[in-house]
Amino acid sequence: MDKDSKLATLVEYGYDPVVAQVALEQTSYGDLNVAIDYIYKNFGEGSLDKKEVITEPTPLTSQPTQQLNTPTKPKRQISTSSSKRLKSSITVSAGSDDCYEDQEDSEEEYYQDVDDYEFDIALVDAFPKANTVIQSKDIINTALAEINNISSITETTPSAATLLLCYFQWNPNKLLERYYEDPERVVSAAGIKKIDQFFTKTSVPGQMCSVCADDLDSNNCSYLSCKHYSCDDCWNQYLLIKLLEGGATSIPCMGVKCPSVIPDEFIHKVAPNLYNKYLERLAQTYVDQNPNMRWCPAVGCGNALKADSQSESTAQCSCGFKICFRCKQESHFPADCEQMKNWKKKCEDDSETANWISSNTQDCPKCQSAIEKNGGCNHMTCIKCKHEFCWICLGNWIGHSNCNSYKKEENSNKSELKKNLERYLFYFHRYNTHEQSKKFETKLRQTAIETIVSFQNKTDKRWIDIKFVETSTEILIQCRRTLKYTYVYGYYMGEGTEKNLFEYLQNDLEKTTEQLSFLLSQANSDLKIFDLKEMTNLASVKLKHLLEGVEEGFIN
Amino acid sequence: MNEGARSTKRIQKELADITTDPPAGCSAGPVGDNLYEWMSTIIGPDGSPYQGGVFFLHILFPVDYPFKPPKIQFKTKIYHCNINSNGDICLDILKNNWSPALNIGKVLLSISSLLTDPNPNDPLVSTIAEQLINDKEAHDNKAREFTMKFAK
Repeated sequence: MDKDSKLATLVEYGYDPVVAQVALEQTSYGDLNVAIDYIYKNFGEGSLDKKEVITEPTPLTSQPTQQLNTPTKPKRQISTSSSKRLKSSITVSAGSDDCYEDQEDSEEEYYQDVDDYEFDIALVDAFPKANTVIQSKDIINTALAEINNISSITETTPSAATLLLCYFQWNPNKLLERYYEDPERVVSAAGIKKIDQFFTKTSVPGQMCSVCADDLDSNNCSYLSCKHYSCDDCWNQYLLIKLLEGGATSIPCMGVKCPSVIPDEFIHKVAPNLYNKYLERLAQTYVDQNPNMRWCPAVGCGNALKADSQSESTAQCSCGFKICFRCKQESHFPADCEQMKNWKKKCEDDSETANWISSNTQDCPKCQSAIEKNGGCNHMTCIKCKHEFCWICLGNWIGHSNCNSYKKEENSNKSELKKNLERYLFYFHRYNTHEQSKKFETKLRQTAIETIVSFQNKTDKRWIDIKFVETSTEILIQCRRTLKYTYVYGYYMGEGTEKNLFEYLQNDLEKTTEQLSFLLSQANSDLKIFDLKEMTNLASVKLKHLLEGVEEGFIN
Repeated sequence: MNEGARSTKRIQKELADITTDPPAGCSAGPVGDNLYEWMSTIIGPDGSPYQGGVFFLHILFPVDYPFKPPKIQFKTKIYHCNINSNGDICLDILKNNWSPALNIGKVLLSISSLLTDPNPNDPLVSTIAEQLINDKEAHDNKAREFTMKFAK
């Protein structure tokens, strides 16, 4: 039974799809009974009953314990549809509100207000997600499927097909077009000189291994039709070294300047223990050489991303990481690749000052105690003097606004060079602060799950609300990433009305992001769903405005 | 067979071969007790500007020899477009075209023929290569001068 059908079965049993998904993931898609046990242990019977709470026409607050202990068949339709919305586009609309008919007016209004917001992560982003994510374990199968396909069409061996694909950068259409024009020319251009028969585990009496000088008369000899005899032991060592060096697609025979290329079946026969390594290398070559594919650069993620069209500039991995397809770095919109290149170079050139500026401590503007930032929120409260200030501009937090635009000092005697450095440091400081905040907040992805699980047993919150923490976290990370790169964009932006408008929107987004960050950092102990929804909505709208402004121009 | 044992056995065999039947104009053998570090000499080939010179080379075998090429360096100064002032040699069989079926005798012969036929199209020292292409006589004179000065 595959993953999807397991999920479908659990849903069929009446479990909330989201709960079922979490349970299946936690039990590594093993036995269904184990998954069900997991649901009962971690979500209580409430995984079924919670929906009962939702569908029960009584106020949420009345006798929650009693409701918990009365298992009844849930009205699946409602919960499934709402979870579906949550998963796909996070559009929470009035659909599930029917069940609150009997609630107090204020409560009803509360939910309707909140639920009228529409959250659409895809909409927030300026780019469509037209890419395919290939999970790390599937990459090799995708590559092998392409090889087999070409091999059967062109009636060549898989090894020859691999070389052909490498030559045409894994573009099968171009390959076949050229191949049918002039097969011989293509074959020689691709470097397929001689891939033919091979012999393994044979004996060649009277001959010595050309590498270790052992006798080859005890069924330990393997060779290609070029007859460069060697013992299996030496072949093994040779193949290991070649695979470690990184080549998988055209390992030559061991003979001096021999044009034969070792076919993959030969590796399979002579060095079966190295065959997996060969496949790993093949997968690597497949992604590296394919212009439409990129590795996900996130730490520890081995997935590959495939753009569905050549013009694609941004892609998102299933791990949440966004990548710029052109420069293979993290997606850096609104700054463009050229700006990022210049910015990175500048940061390297000014590394000494950058190191200094990026050091983690700052002094409290009031009591001068050194403070280290350990969370993403830039609203700081000094633990000693309780002074509240903005980490970015060190100004008082109360009445704090507009710290995102660089103010030129008038009538100053400073040299041009010093002014330029200060301007750069101003932008770098903000770029770096958002980068660090983002690092902290990326960890919130894990804590969001923990929060969700911990709130499972507290019945005064709706499942759909608790699940919302995940959405907020994603929006927050998006805001942080965009804010980070707006400072690169701003640094290279000319002065004028456009820039003023840009900075206005940037400041707007920055403030909202800080508030959202604060709410989320508190979510573990004090989950304010209403505030969180409102703030998430606000942040997504402001992010959208800023991105649209960059795309279409601010003045219009 | 582990790497060390394989390479030791192979180097011992090569030492025996090169001692009994050395290639023309070449000799080689270990420095002291270390089987992996050799010293070699190549006599400047007749008809080349290096004629009459004796060139010393330092050879270092890697532990995964013969799957990786030996590291070879000229210890005697030489005026040659494929050998730099550090003694490093630009020779395909010592890099990409290395094959485990090659041995040190064949490599020394290749280096010897590189002295006869320099390859200015793939130079390590471009100034010498340009001179060789544009003014072979001046190049050969300079090479002879170097040979007289450093290799005798």
